[in-house]
Amino acid sequence: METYIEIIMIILIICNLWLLAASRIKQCIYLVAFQGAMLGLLPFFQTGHGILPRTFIIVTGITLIKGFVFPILLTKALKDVKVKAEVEPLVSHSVSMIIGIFALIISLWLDERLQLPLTIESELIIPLSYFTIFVGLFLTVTRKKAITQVLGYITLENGIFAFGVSILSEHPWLVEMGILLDVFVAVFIMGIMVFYIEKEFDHIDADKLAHLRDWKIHKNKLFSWDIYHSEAEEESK
Amino acid sequence: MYIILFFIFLLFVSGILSFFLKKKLRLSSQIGSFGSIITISFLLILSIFNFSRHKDLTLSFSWQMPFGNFAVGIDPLSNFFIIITLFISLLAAFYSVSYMSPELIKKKTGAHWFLFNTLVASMIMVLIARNGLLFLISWEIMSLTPFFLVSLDDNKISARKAAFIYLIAANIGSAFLLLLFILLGGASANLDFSSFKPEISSGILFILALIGFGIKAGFLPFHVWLPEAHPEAPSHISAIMSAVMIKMGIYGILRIITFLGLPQAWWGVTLILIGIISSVGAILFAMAQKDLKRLLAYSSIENIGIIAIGLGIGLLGMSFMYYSVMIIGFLGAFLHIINHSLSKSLLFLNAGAVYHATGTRNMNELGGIIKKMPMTSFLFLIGSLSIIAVPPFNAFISEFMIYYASFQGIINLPKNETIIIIIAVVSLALTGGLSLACFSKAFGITFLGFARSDKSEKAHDPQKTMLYPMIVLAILCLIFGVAAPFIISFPLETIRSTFNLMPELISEEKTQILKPLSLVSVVIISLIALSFLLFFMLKKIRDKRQISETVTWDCGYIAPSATMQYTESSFIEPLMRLFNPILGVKTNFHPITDIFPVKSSFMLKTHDVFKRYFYEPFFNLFSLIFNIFRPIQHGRIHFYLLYIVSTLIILLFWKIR
Amino acid sequence: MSVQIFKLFSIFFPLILSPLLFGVINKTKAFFAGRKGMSVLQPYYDIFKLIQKENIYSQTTSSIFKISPVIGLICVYMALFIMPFAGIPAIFSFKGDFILLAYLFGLSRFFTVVAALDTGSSFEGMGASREVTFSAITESVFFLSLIALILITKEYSLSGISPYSSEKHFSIILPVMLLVSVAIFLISLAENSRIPVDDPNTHLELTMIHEVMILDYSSADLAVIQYLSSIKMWIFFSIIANILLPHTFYVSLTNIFYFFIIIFSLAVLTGIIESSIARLRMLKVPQFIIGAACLSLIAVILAFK
Repeated sequence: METYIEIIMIILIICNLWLLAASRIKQCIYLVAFQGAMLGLLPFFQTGHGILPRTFIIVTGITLIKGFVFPILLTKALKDVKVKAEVEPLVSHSVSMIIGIFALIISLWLDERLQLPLTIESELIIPLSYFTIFVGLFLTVTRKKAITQVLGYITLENGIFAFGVSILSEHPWLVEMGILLDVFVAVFIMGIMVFYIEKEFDHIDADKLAHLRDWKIHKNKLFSWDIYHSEAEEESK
Repeated sequence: MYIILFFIFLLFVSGILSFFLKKKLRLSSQIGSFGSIITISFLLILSIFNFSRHKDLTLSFSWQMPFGNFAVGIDPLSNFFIIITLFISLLAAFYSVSYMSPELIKKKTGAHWFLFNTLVASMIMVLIARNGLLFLISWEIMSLTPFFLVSLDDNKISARKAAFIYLIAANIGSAFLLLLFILLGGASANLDFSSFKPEISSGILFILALIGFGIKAGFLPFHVWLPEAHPEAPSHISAIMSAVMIKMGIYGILRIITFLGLPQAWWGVTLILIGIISSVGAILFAMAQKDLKRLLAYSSIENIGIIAIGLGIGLLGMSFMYYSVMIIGFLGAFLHIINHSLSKSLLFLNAGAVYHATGTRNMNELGGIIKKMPMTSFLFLIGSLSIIAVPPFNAFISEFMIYYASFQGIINLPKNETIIIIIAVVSLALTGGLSLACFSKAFGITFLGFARSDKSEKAHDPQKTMLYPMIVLAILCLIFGVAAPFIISFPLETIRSTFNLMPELISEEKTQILKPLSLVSVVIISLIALSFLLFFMLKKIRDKRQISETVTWDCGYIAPSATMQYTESSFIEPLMRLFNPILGVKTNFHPITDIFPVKSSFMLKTHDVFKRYFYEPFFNLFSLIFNIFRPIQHGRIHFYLLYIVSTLIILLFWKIR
Repeated sequence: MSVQIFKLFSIFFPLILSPLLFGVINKTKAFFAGRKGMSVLQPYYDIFKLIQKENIYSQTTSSIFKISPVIGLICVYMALFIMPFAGIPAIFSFKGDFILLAYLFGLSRFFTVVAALDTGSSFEGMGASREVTFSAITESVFFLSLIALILITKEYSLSGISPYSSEKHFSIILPVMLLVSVAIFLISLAENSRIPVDDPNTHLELTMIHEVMILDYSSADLAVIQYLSSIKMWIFFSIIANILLPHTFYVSLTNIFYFFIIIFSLAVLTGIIESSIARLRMLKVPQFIIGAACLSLIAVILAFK
């Protein structure tokens, strides 16, 4: 059993790194879904606790939502808005991967430093959850599109879930459900948002939302308060 | 011991004579060269004889200076470095007879030989000094002479600038050494090596030694002087500086370590870290160079880094009392010291020959000279194969040892130290790959292909006195690669006596390392033999058939020209782009925009990041501060005298009070 | 059969069988393309055909160009002596032999690159430049993946780093073994210039790495180069096979059988990869190699625990 858990852990780590390297949004969606489903399967491999019916229901629910509902929703949103298929990172993929490696090392170090008073099936679960959280945060920060930010949130939640799985018996399921609900709502709202942003502005580039602010940085002047004026200038060019 | 001192003195005197006879060019050159060649060879014979006798020589008598006696001595550690120094200097002296022929440098002949002989003499003095003061004096002379040698060609601005940068760096280093020796001497104010009793924590002393000697050795954060000074010096001087003088830094560190007792683990870790930074960083900078000698200078830093990694692993092994790691690590480092001396001096002498024949060091102006200078090209090929550490040649053996020691370390040392060793192994491999890129560029662009400019039209192989030293070095490169199992006892003996190890330990390790080494030798020898065999077989097949010659595949284009070849910048561009975050490469690209292309250009520029972002701002700040004192420096002599007088008076009052 | 005699045979197997790998790859690709494809023995025919052809050299080249294939071939030939065969220790097996292996490849690479520059052609310069770029990183990844094995087996020769000899728990050995194998497979794709990195089939000079470097070779020289690259592929695949197989000190027929199965299935796998994905853009190649580095790093971390 331990071997299986170990292998799942490694697959999840690779999944995270791949997520950083992936260049297509669709690929990202599938990876995140796969990650969620894998995490959902994890409690079945854990010996010692036995599987309570309640656990079974919740875990199945989570797997279904993460593995199937989210990707379907997101793919639909992707189809609706007809954006470019590329991820458009702010930091290049290679650098992202290298940062990912550092994040992995840091999470291992964190695990050594913060000795949690728990008995855990695999030594890798806790570092993995840190790592997943880091990757989620990194994705939300460095990817341009709104939809990839949603993916980042889901990854983040996956990390928290991995943390929860490792301490299954003591874990307050309510909290987990709450977070899941949060993210669910986020995905839902983002889905709608993304749709409307696209409808209004012809793109879902979160970076470009900066255009909505009052002032604009200009080449010559530091900034100009008169947004209409500067846009008129641009058009005249 | 007296004989050795006498010969050193003779060497010095022949330099002085040559300097005073500078009017008579021939005579001065003859005195200088014969003096140095004869004394150096005598010294070499003496020291080899000494080494085989396994006896330490010491001599100590009181002299007119404070802080202890005039103490000199030779032990295997000194002897190891002395032999390398003398050997390389001897070859350099031979080389310079025609490279620096009196017809070529005219009035500077005398000065050249004076400086050359002084440099060699002072290096030997550094190695045999057993008193802090004597050591520092010799060290200072050794540091000063290259300043004049670098600026020998003093109507070139770049040479003068390089010399000044060198001078500043050397002095900062000496300042740290002064502090180090004062602290080592402690309260007794006796600077004899035998009476050192360090009173403060040995960690601080180690750090001081690392910085003071590290500047001379050229570890990466302290390296800025090196790529400036080495290319500007005459080539045989660059060879001496690169092959021998920077090793004095390593010698110093080793010598200090022997005073400090059992090392702590973090010393090894620091040394490995420095080694990693130096090797990977320097080879990246080396790749970016257009100037052949500058490239070689950076590559010296890389090799110093590799030596530092070896030493660091050795120190780690020593601090955990794990002798296998320690001895093999040190063995790797010591062997690499020899090997790098051989191959780097070969390469520098070679670059000198190319410069001699073509008048340029810029790779983009060279190319195709393998047809004009076949011998030089062949020797450069051997040099570069040797420096990138591929099998038949020497550096492979030493890198093999360092890897071997690292793997021993990975298996046996505690976890935290293992991490650093793993990083070291990976970065060694990376360095290997990058130096392959670097030297395939250096060889390929300089010697192969079409001539890129008409500068290489008149190129020809150099005279025999220049060629023979290179041939000797090349043969030694091969011998040290092939006959490694027979050679390791020489550095092993040095290690034994330096760290006072038991002979049984050494012989145990020797038998352990001998098996892989002899198998490596077998593989290497059969590699060479089989290559020859197959080559001649293919040649026979070829000879029977008709062979036609044609142009290089040109894709149907009718007028291919030499400028269409890959240049050095384009060759290295993908790697530069890959490591851009570290190198901060500036590109200047004017792409083709119109349908009918007009002139377009592409340029790559790489600055030394340390120089640009650390040293330049730092020294700018300094010059800003010291600008305040400018008015004092007005050029009126009597005011200067006034300063002196007033200082003396103030001091007088200070003392009386 | 005595082990010692068999060891001698183990040199001949790769020498004879390695061109078959290319045949298998081509057959697989033909199968996926729905073609009948050329015979599995075609690489042999090619080599014999090339040997009989006339030599043509460029006027620009020097003797470097002529000696380069020879040195390359001898390097891989000597590398065979330090490769264990089907779990049986190599003829020359000593601690740290993979360092020699890596640097032998380095030597042959140096000569290939320099010979490419010798022609003075910009195409070949381009290939050489790419080759040194990518190989500079792959070498360190290779070492990193071997370190993972060293950490779990406490042994450092190619004949000794079989993960089965480790004392660690199986839950660590298995993942490390798999990760390292995958990482080395990815490296071997890059080193043998197969598809995600380089395309051996295109003859468009701008997209190639290895093929473009040998553009000016003809006749026996070209035959030597093709032969040596097949042996090189064999060596990489047999490293993987030796990791996956338990090591024995006697001649075990089942082991030898599995050894061949693994090597040829890796060839089939290469063929499948070549027919299913396209070559990466040059800028993406470092990312591919960093991916392999990530895998081996995870292996190292696991082995470290």
